[in-house]
Amino acid sequence: MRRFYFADTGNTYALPFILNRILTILTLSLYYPWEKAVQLKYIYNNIMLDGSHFDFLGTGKEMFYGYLKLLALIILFYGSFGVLMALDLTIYAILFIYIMTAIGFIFAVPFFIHGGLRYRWAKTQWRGIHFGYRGELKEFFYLYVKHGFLTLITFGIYYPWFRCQIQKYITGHIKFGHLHFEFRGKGEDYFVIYLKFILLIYITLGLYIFRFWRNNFNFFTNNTVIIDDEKGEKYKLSSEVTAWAFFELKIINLLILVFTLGLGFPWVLARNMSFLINNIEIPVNFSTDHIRQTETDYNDALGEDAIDMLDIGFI
Amino acid sequence: MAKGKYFDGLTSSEHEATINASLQSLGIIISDSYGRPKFLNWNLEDISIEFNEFAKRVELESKTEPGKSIELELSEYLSIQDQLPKNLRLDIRQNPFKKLWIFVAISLFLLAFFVFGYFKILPFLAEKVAMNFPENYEKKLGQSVFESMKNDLDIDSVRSHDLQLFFNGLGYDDPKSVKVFYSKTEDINAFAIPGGIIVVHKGLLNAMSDYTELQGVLAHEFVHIQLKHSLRLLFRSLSSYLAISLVFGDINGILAVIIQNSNELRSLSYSRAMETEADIKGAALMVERDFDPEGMIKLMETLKTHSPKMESEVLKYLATHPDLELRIDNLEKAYPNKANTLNADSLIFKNIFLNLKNER
Repeated sequence: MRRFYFADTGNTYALPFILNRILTILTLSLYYPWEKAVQLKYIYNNIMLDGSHFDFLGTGKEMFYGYLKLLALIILFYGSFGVLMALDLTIYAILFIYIMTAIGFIFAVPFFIHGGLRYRWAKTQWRGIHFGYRGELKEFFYLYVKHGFLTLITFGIYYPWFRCQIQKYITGHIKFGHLHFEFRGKGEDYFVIYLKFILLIYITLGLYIFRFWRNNFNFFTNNTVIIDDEKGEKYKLSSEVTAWAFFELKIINLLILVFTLGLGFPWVLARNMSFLINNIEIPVNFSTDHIRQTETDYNDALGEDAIDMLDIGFI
Repeated sequence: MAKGKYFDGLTSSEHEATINASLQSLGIIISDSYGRPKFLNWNLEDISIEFNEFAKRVELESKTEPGKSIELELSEYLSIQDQLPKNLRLDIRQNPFKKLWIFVAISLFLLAFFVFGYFKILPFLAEKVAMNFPENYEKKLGQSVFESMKNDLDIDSVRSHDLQLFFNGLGYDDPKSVKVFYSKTEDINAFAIPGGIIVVHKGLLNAMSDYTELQGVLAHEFVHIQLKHSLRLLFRSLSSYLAISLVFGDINGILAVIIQNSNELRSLSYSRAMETEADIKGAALMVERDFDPEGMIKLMETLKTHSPKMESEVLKYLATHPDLELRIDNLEKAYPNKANTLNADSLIFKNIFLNLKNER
């Protein structure tokens, strides 16, 4: 019996999915936060660890406020562009202001990630024990901008190091009761994964993508460690997923989506979650029985939807 | 009596719990970390009861001591439900298979709605939009399309003038609204552009043996314009593109279609129904003006001798121009007596026609 697995095949999400989707479409996406809350509850409630499920405590209402703030920002962004057009400025002035705003938007990304992480982890719970994210916005922002800048001036070559730094900071500030985490991945190792990807993707006519996904997944999993300071123990997560498994997952997902015109999404989601969760091995000696409560509640959901829109995934 | 798991909100330890319900309270027996029994009494007013549909468990939570909770399998909860006061009982209607059927039903309905909308509602709306499209915009659209292809067409202005005279003489329409052009290219073809532009290629004119064929082709193209065939087609393909991009979320593609369509209007193939309509109504127009509808049939025969043969039945079906023989059949059925009803102006038409064919 696995200790850590995803418990559903998608069947129980089918009906909530289609009803919520219709509501979201009918309300011109205003209902989206509620739809998302249901989806997150479905996902979390089906992740099983030692016989107990996870919980997502966030609500559509909380996320709706965050969503409204985000919408306001977007309207402000496009609205100001409209105002500038109306002001009859020269095209260069408009272009300048537009580019400056776009840069401002890039600077906003770390805020969104930070906000999203704070909210999501604060709302995650297992057997009544809260998770939490204790990163500092100032530190994270500085880290993000500094390494982001390095990535920019090296035309992306620095990206693997950037990614590892960000992952190290985020993982290092996640708490699960009194337990915390560590990411040990090194930029140079991740760089090799990227380099191989760039060298081989064309030669293999794109088929290398599955091996790249495999390497990527294994890199992040195998470099994540759970730390129990009270016992003085460290527990390394591990994964042995194969490229073939990725191939099978993606191809079948694609077929499901295409042949059901997207209505098969619940099963694709469940397949993805099962794949993700079932391929993470937890060390045998890691005991989940005496995790102490340390984290408190946190309700501001700004960022939760932004990270969604920007398609920044994190777990 | 029900068995469940008790969590104290302080650590992740699981405690086996036995729950007895009464009308006022829950009596809970748990074993502590040393295995000793411990008794708890939760007032029913101070707890919340919820069914977690995804985890398929019932969760009892203490409102006075946050973090303390009990989790029950559904079957365990049901065994004590009857002892709870009615207002606290959960309304559980869960049968995943029943729900899956509802999903399937809704999906099928949505698919049916989409298919119906795509094949029936959308073309209907597109038609409405096309028919109500402002005429001056249609003219502008046609003009810009014509301008963009003018270079390739190699227009002969003198012959275009003659052709225009020929057309005006037919009296199909207010002569100011339709412009006719002569293209010096060898295509065996003629086409109409929205807003009232007809182009006849040199190739087609030279293939014709009789001026009545020219009357026929102009009547045919004029019907395309009058019934806004190409505009309707444009809106139809645009609307289906809109629907598809709504499903797959690609709005940018619409712009591409507009550009592509306006450039390819020349090779735009009308539907079979539209072609047949233009044949029959064109011939009717000729009869109305006392011209010989036989011209339309002769035109088809000219086209037939110059068109590549389509042998297979499949190809015949796929071709958007209905098989010429079929078109001839249709016309012959509509106009069986080939009596020549000569129009008084026929000599003028004949002269212009010969002029157009003459090498200068």
